[in-house]
Amino acid sequence: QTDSLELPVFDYSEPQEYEIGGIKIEGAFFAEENAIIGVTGLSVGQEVRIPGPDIPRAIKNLWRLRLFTNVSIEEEKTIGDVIFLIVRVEERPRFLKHTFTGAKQSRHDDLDEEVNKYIVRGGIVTEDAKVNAAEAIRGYYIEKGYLDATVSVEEVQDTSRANSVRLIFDIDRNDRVKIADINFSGNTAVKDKKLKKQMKETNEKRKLLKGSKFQPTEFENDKEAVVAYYNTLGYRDARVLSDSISRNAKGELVIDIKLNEGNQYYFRDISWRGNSIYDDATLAQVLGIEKGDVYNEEELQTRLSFSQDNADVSSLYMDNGYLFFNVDPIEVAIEGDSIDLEMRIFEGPQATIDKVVINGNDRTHEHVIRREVFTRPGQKFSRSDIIRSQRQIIGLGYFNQETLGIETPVNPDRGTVDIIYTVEEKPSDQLELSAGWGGNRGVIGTLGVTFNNFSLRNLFNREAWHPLPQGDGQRLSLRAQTNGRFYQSYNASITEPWLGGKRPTSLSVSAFYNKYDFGTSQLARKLIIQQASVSLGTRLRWPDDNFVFRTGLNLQTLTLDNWSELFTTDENEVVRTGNYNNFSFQFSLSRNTATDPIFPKQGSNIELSLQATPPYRSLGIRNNPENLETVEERFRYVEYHKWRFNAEWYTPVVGKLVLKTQAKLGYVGSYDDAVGVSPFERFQLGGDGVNNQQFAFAGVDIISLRGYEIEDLANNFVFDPVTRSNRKIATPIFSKYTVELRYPLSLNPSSTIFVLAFAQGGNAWRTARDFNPFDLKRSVGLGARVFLPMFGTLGFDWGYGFDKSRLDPQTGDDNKLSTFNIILGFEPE
Amino acid sequence: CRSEFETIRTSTDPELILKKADAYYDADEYQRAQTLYELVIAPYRGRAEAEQIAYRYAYTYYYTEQFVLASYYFKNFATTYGGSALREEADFMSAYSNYELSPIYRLDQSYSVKAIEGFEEFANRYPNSERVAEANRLIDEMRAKMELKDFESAKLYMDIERYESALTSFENVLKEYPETKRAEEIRYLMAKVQYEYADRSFRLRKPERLEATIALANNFLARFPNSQWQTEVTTILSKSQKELNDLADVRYQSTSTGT
Repeated sequence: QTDSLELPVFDYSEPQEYEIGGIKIEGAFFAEENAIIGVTGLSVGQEVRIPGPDIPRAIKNLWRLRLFTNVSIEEEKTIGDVIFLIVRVEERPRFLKHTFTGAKQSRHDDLDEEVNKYIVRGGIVTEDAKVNAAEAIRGYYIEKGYLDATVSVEEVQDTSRANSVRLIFDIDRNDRVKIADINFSGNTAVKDKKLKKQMKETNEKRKLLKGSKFQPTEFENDKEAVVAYYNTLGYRDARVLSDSISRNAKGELVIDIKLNEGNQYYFRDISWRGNSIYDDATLAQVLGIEKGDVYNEEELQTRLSFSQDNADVSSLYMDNGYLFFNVDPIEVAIEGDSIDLEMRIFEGPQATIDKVVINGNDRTHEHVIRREVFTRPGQKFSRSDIIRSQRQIIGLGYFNQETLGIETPVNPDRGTVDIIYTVEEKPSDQLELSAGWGGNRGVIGTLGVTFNNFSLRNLFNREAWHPLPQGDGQRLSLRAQTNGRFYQSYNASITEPWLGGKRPTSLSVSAFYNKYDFGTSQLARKLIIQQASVSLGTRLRWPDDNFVFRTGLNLQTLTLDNWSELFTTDENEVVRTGNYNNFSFQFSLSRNTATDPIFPKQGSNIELSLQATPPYRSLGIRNNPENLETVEERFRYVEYHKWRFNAEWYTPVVGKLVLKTQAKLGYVGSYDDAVGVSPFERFQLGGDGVNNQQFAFAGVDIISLRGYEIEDLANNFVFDPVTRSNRKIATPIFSKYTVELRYPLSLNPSSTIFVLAFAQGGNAWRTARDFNPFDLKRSVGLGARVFLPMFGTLGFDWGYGFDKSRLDPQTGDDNKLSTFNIILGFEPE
Repeated sequence: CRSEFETIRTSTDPELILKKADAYYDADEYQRAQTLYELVIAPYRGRAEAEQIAYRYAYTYYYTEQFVLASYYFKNFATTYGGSALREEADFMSAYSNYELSPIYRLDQSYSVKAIEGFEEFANRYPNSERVAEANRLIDEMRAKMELKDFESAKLYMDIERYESALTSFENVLKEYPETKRAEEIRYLMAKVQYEYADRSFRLRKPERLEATIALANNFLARFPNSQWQTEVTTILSKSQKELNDLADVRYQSTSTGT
């Protein structure tokens, strides 16, 4: 029997085994006793050790219900080794829901989040929790600049359910408090204006385009920014002595900041200790700080460890396996305004990579990623290899660039390091489903799908279909486009990026069938093109492994029946009817370092390609002079050599602004003057490169030229004296140069958005003799792009062409000098 | 006019909702049962029915194949109702839900790791449970999968001629999966890779790499005298020894002519 005057305290010195003889519940009104006993995990007849883990666990379980404000378990009595327990609880009304008054609907989600930190639905409400929740709401408004916000909370009995309450938060946010003035005192070396500029979020109200509001956390950051700015100027003792915030007569804020600038310091002697791999001179050169330079802590740290271009002291070691490398700049002497530094270096052992782990790939098969990763087990740790691997992984296009994680846990005992890449899959497939108005040709319907991460081997494995077999990094693209009678186009292609073997060798197989039929029952007018092609691509090791060499074979046949568009020789013979065989080999050499497919920030892509048919006549295969009589005979087996050169560079200018510089050249030549330049495989420069895209399937390369319609380039058409109208032709030579400034508005991979301003020049020529790289049609303009993974690139360009004739060549009306182009689905060449 | 389900969903009578939730659950309509159970969790908190609700609520996630949440709610049940007779089942199901999420070996194995941890915890907590055999079987199954993954990545390095990486990775497989059935194949491949590595090395590096090959080959032959790769490894051994001898002779000659 326990004495009722004494607190029922268990004697902790001697744990003892008891059998539970009974459990009593006190203080419960709405909760059922049996349920409470169930939650405690204790039961009659159970063996418990007291003191032991069972009782605290039971108390914890009861707390977790969030129904009680107080919970205790006490001993009622013991009879021998049988114990009787009392569970005492204090119940309170349960919190059902909360509402806000005086807050915009759009803020409710944010406010709910604040409230939920303190109050849980179905739990209990305490005074403390209510005050905390109200204060959290007020804090939320203060952070948004509403310094005078008030929040009150009211508890209401809810009649819809017994024993429950509802909370009403009444919010009066009041007007946002603006900042009238920011005053600095104590600054002599730097002007007020310059200091205010360092404060990014705390601005005076008269500043244009910037909101003036006071946000406490941002203000603290801005004060630090002011001090950091002083530090970069050598004022390493600078600090904010005090700041005061007051209200003026209009209720606006006045901020006074008192500064102590301190003295300006300079670097004097820099010495190195502990370096055995690199000598002092090498390290000093990499550091790049000279005696007499203004003391700049930030610059010093950058040069030691965080340089953008990896040309800092740490990189020197880190790229050579010295993962444990550490450098500590110690100020060994300060005399007047001069500081002597001693760089204490710990080189440590060279770390070897033990495991390379790839996590987070829940779609893409591991080997697809692992083969791209340059950090490999057994190699020395290298920071630049990691950075390169990161670039390669992103270049695959399957993963979210922003969330790619890299960890390097070390094992100092073994001198090894693991490298863990954590990826997050993003949608990479594209669906194209459209019906568009194709001018006089009526409605054109398109159905296309591109799977960028297909798995051919799982095609017949039903379990791998979710919704499609994927993960092997193969690209499968299927596209059908038709408007019924006039036009049909079917495309299929599949690419395997790595056939196996030592180096990445890709294989592509593709085929297409295009038919145009504008004829009537009286007059045929038809073109059919069929093509099958195979190509192999290999990454080279020399000159460096960014080079890719591709070689391919194209087998194409063209069937023309009274067709009159575009296919014209330089002698102005129109190729109208007959079957033509276009069998060519293709070779291309490219170097690709701008790997981000949507918005490259830096790097370049350069490609030189040659597409060539066998020189049938020179080989003596089609030597018969009869073959030269008609144009149809001359090109029965089409012969040409076609060269393309594309180069683009991406350079970061300032901040997120990127400069794109691009040059494109194309040339189709003949082996034999007697045969002449092929009417097929030519170019059409001008227009938006989108609406005339159908000709791309008709053996013509379509190149856009912003600011100019196709008819604006004199070489793109000839005057036909019979019909007394212009007839469009394709040209064998073109060149185009572009500079473009791009600024990203959103780099979110699910919707990348950027705006651009461009200046462009290009022209098309009919013979090599006319070619003049400086005779360009120039234009400038603006545009915007949105990339949505499911739909590709959407956007528009507005371009203004300078070098146009003022009058329309056909109608003689005033010519429009600007063009407006819509980009749908893909970026035209 | 609203459907019967909508009428119940919007009613404020917890008893009615619970009754219908149980009815849907018994009729295998787990999606609807889940929606309704969710509504009655708060009002039944601290009442006798709460245990059954929490148990069935977890199962609705399991049956609708939302295994991440199923695992979470089973675990939640097990910690909330520590004394429940259903606790053992819930602990097992929490791990089993993670097992259901464990993908083919080519993909991320985080859920396999979680499931293995769960099953190991289960086997420790209920050593006499009849489910332990099943738990052990599933652990073996998932470890085999993870072993295959590591083995394949070592083979990838072998295929792209990254010999050092392949050797390190094979060694790690042996270390991490001592129970592996591939020990013979892995040790054979290591001898083979090490030989190719030595064969394509600069002369300066050759002797040490040939010696490593000899060590690996001898080790293999001693361990697996009746192996199907026995002749091949013997050839590797004799070739390495011969090359090493040749190199030693060259070194001897060059030093002797030098003096």
